[in-house]
Amino acid sequence: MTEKRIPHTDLDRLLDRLRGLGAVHAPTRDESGDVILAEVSPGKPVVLDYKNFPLSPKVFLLPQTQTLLRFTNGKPHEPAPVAGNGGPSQGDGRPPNRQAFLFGVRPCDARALLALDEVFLGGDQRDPYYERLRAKTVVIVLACTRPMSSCFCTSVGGGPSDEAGADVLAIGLEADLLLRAITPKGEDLLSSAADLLGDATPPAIEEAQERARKAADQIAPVELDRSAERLRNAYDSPLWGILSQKCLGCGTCSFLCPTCHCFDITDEVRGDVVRRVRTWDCCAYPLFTLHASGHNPRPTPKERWRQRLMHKFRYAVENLGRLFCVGCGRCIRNCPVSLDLRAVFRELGA
Amino acid sequence: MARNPYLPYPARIEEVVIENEARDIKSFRLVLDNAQDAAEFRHLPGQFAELSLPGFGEAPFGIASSPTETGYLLFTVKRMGLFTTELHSLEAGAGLGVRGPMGKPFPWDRMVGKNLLIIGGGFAFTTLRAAINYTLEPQNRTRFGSVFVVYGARTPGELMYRDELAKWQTRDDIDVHLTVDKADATWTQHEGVVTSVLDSLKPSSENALAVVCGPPIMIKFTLFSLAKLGFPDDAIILSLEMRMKCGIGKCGRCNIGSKFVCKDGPVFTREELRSLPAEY
Repeated sequence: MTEKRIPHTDLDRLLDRLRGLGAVHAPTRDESGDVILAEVSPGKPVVLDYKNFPLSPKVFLLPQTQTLLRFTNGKPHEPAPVAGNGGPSQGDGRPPNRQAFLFGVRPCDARALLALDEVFLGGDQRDPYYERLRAKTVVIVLACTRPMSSCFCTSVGGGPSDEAGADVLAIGLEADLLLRAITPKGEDLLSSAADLLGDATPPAIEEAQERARKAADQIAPVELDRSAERLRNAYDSPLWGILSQKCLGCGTCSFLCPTCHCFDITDEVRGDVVRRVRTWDCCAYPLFTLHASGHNPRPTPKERWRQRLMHKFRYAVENLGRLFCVGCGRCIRNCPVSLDLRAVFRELGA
Repeated sequence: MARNPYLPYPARIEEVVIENEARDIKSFRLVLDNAQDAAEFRHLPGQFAELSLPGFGEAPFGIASSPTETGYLLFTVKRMGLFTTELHSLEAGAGLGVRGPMGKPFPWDRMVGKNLLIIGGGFAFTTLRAAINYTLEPQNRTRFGSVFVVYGARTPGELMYRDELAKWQTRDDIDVHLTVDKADATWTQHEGVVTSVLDSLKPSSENALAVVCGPPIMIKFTLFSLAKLGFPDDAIILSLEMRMKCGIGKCGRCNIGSKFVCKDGPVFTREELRSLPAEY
C-alpha cells in the first residue's frame, strides 16, 4: 500500500497528468453553482470543499439511458466500439476506449459501486455494458470532513474516510492531499505521477486520522444493526401503511440512490432506426410490476415502499451479504414529502 | 468473451396455429436462423425465453415444446397487450428474436422414478405440454412412473393442443382427464373446475409429485385439493408469473423476497414459496 502526498497547489499538475491517460472527471461548479462531478478541461477550477454531488456517480457506470442494441432491417447489432473520445457516462452503449478518472467521489458513493458490482458482475451472467465501463473507470475517493445531518454512513459499515470501492483514497490535509493506493489500479495511478508526489510523513498520516475521527464523530448513528433479521419479522407490520401514506411514488429516492439499479428495457423507434434502450426504473412506480392481465402484485404505495426498503436492508443482505444502502442521505434530502427511511428502523425498535 | 446476454438469437416463424375458438391464443413454431445458435439453445420443460420484436420490445413466454422435439421451438401466446398483439399479426416467414433459455426447469432429477400428477388450467398449459411430451418420449417414458394429467378450460373451444390431447387419450401410458367449466352439446368429458376432477378421481400422492400451472384462482383451490390428497408442500411444483425485462437477474423487476423469479424460478415448490412474501 503506497501512501503519498501532494501539495494542494500541485493538484492541477496531477490532473493534467491524468488527462494524458484518459478523461478526468472532478468536482466543479455547473452553471447554477452546484458542485457536480464532470469532465474538467485544463484551467477549469476544481472545488474540494463540497459536501456531495446531487447525482451519484452510478450514472457513469449505469447511465440513465443507454442503448443496448440497434436494429437494422430487423437484425440486432451491438453498438460498435467508440472511435474517438469515450467518457464513461456515454449512453450510446459503445464500449469506451480510454480510461476515466472519477476524482473526488465521496466514500459512501464509492462503497455503492461495490454493491453495483455484485449485481452486474456477479451471478451467472455478467452485464457486458456495465463491465466495459467499470473496467475503464478509476475511482479516486475524497474523504469527507463535513458530513450532513442526513448522512449515516457510519451505521451501514462505511465512514467519512472509508476505503471500500476506492482505487485511491485522498484525504485533504491543511497543506496537502494525502493519497493512499487501495487497489492495483490505484498503485498504477500513483506510480504514473510519482515525480509529482512526496512521501506521506508520519505527522501527515496522523493528521489524516485525526480528521477522519472528527468527521465520523459528527454523524448521528441510526439503529441499523441486524436490519435483515428485524425486517424478516416486520413484513406484516402496520408501519408500512402508515409511513408510506404520503409517498407520491415519484421515484426521486431511487433515481438519486447510488445503489438502486433496477432498470427497464424498451424499444425506441425513430424513422428507420430502432434502438433497444435501457433506462432507470423504480419499484415505487405502479407500472413496475403490473402484469399484462391487469393484476398487480404490489398494488399500493404500501407494498411498493416496503419492497424498496426490504430489498435494500433484507433481501440484498440475504442474497449478497451486503446492505444496499450506503447512508449517503440523498433520499432523505430530496424527498418531496420528507419521507425518511431512518424512521422505519426507529419505529421498528430492536 | 461470453455472448452478450441481451442479444437475441435471430429466428423465423415457421408455422402459426390458432389454438382456441376465441382466436386469441396462437402457437408459433420458431426455427433459429443459425445452426450454431440452435445447438447452443438447450432447454428443459419449465424454462422460458424472451421473444423479441424490434420496435415492440421483448416479453417472456414459457417454452411449449419439449427438447425432444428437435429443430424448432414452440411458444403459445395469448393476445393481451402491445407485444402480443403485434406477435399475433405475424405470419409464417416473419422474423423475430429469441433470448434464452431462461430460468430453472421443472425439477427433472427429482421427478425420475416418481408418479407425475400434472394439473393445468387455461393458457398456462404451455410448459406442461412440453413436460408431457418430454415424459412420453420413448427413451424417457420408462424413467417415470404413472403420468396423470388434469387439464381444464372454460369451454371445450378454449382447450389448446386439441389434436395432441386426443392422441394422448388413445395411449395407455398416460391418463388424460379434460374438464370444462361450461360444457356444450357435444362435450362428453368432465364438467366442472379442475379441483372437482381431483376430488372425485383422487389420484394417489404415493411416491408422486404434482406439477401445477394455471390462473391464480385455480392454483389456490388446487392447493387445498392436493393437501387433502396427502401431497406434502415439497411435492407440489408451481410456476410463477411475474413481469420481467432482463431475464438474467439484473433488472430487479421480478424480485420477490430474496428470489428473482427469472433466475431462481419460475419453478418453485410450494415449500419454497411459503418462505417468500405472497407478492405474486
